[in-house]
Amino acid sequence: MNLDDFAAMDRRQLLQRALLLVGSTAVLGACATLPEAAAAVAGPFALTDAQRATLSALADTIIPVTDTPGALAAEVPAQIEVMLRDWAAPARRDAAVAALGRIEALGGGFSALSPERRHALLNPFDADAMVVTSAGGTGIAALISGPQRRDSGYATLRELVVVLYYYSEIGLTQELQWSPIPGRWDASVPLTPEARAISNGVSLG
Amino acid sequence: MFDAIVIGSGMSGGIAAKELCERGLKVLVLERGGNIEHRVDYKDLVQPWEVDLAGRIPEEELAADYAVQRQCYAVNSLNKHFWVKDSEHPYTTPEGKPFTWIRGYHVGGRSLMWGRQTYRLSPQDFEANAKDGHGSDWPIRYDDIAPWYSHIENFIGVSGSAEGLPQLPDGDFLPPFALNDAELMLKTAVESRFPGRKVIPGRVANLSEAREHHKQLGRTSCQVRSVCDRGCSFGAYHSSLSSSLPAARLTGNLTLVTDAIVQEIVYDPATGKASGVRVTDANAKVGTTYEAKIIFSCASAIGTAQILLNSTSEAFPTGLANRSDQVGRNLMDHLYALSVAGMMPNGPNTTTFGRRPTGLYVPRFRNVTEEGRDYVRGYGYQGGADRIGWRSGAVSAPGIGAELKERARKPGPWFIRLSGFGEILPYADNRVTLNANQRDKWGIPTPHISFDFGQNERNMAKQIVEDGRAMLEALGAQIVSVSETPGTPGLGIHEMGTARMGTDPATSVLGKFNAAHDVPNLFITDGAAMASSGCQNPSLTYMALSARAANHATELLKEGAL
Repeated sequence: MNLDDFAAMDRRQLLQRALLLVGSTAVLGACATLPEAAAAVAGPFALTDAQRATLSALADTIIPVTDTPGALAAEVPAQIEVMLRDWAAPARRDAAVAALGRIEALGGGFSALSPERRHALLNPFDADAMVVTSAGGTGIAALISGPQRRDSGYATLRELVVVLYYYSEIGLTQELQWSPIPGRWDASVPLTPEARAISNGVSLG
Repeated sequence: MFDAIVIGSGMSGGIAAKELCERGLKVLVLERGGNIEHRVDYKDLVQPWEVDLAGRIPEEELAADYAVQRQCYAVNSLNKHFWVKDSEHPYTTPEGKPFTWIRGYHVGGRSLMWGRQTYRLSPQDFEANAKDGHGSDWPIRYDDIAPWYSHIENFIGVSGSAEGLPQLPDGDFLPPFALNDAELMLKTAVESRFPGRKVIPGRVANLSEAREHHKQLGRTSCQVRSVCDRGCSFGAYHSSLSSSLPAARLTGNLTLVTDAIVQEIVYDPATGKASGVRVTDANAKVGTTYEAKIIFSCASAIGTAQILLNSTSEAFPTGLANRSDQVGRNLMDHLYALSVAGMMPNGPNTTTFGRRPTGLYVPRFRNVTEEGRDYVRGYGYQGGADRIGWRSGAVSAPGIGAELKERARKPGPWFIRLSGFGEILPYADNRVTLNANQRDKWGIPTPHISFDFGQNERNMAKQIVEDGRAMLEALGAQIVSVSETPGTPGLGIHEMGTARMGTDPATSVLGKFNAAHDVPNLFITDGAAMASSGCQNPSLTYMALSARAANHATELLKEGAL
């Protein structure tokens, strides 16, 4: 049992855990930055090819290839598009799409830059965008919405990149330790220097 | 004509049905929800990467249909079919006094999604009302129910450790899920700093080691996956679906009717007894009346109150079995979500294997070994320690690229938390009534739930947080989070008390075997029966009361007394 799994421990602790650890972002309250084009679109939501290119570059920059495959190998961008279409409410979706525009503007065309240049530009952008501006309300409302970040649209995208990567087969089996059916409880296991964080699979409502 | 009708197939109804069936009675179980097939309808065997939408329910759907249910931690897309749509099952609360009613309408009810923490009430709990004068004196004492606790524990399978504590009696336990090294540090720190306090493994209705009779029902030992809230294909935790209903079915005496929404329990003034139950089919909306010699209401505390209050007749103009005017009153839950959490900078250099389906428990010590400051009764804590996983490092903190991956893959430091569960007193004004002007789609008046904490609860809440903080500080933890406001009433999901047991028919609804004082063949064995709430998770007590009442009802039936 570890902190990633909402179901792993006595259920009464979970709200507390959520308060501390759930990185879900708040629904954007104002839609002032909503592009007119997005508002006019009818039919199922889909990103444009240009937005897809930005999203892929973003995912690859947040979770690049290292000694393990990255977000692109785990097909994270396509899943994010599905999440924006089928999970996100319009306000969140619009905020995320608007954030793609701001990201593409980095360096005058983010998706065309080298990986090193993208990292150099996105790193300070990320630090600024992730600043917590408020707890996102009080009590249950705060737990549901999570803290308000300075750039909530970016925070949504970033969270989806990370969560979908660590839920992917690559993320779970190559990056972390994943045991679908442990079959036993061992309360004390020596921690070795090469030990990986243990994943508990899907844990968010 | 059946021998017995059991209203509800959840935690209490499943056990009532099993016990009655095993005693040879022909039993009809009425379930208001639809069918759920054990294993077939569970999504516990999918790999995380096979889960649509990362396990999330679409935000607009969540807001439109699950405004209340979404407040429960366990709701996700993999078990969405286990929760009611609030949009289809309305209830009301007074302005500014929310009550969070978490429910599932299907075969098995909330036994499918329960937290599985399993504790006995103690002699002190059954004596509390008589001692301090709150509520009605329990008509039974611990010794009356102790054998039935053992009976249920053996049947359902409870993992736990024998501790010899008078305020938390031991039971018939399967091996415990041991405390991890960080929790053992807490145990040492708390027990040396605060003599009389204990830190013990959480007692949980998961089969740490299946016994033969569990295997005969198709249940196997717990695989330590912690996906219990999706239903368990291994049948490793007790639910009506994995355990009690299969046992009832084996007798050949069980009839289960789903989608049967109870309108009322029918009273026959000629005999002075309940003659049957009138239901409406949830889909066809056609009415049927079923008859039986005895009726068990196991529809949950609020559900049972709603049924009784809607069962009016010339003999019972304010609701069946309600001559005491106590039906619907004395609604209780537990103080909940009063939590303290901290990091352990000097935690042990170990980790764990497996995803244990429980954590640690701190049994009640206030008004046991240490006096409470300015309140009666007391509280326990559930909690646990874990190494922080990838999520907090990767999601919540800024930083991208190789650095993020490096951070997320390392096992994090130990994180420990305690969350109090406090006893709530029975108050006459905390009650369920029916709305005269609002009916659900089956024509039944909807419940109106009015609930407020009293001064005793407010005082207790303060010391719950203070004691929790002191225990983590004794461990040397760095406190990172304190939650001082109790969760919305109802969020403890331990609602109870709406048809309380008692010795006096003038002030209570049920007698010592859970039969209604006013209607001798009507038994109520769900949470409604509780005369006080204790601070322990109550399902075990509901099940023990159900089995005890079923045994007694059968004896009366065989004697011809009913």
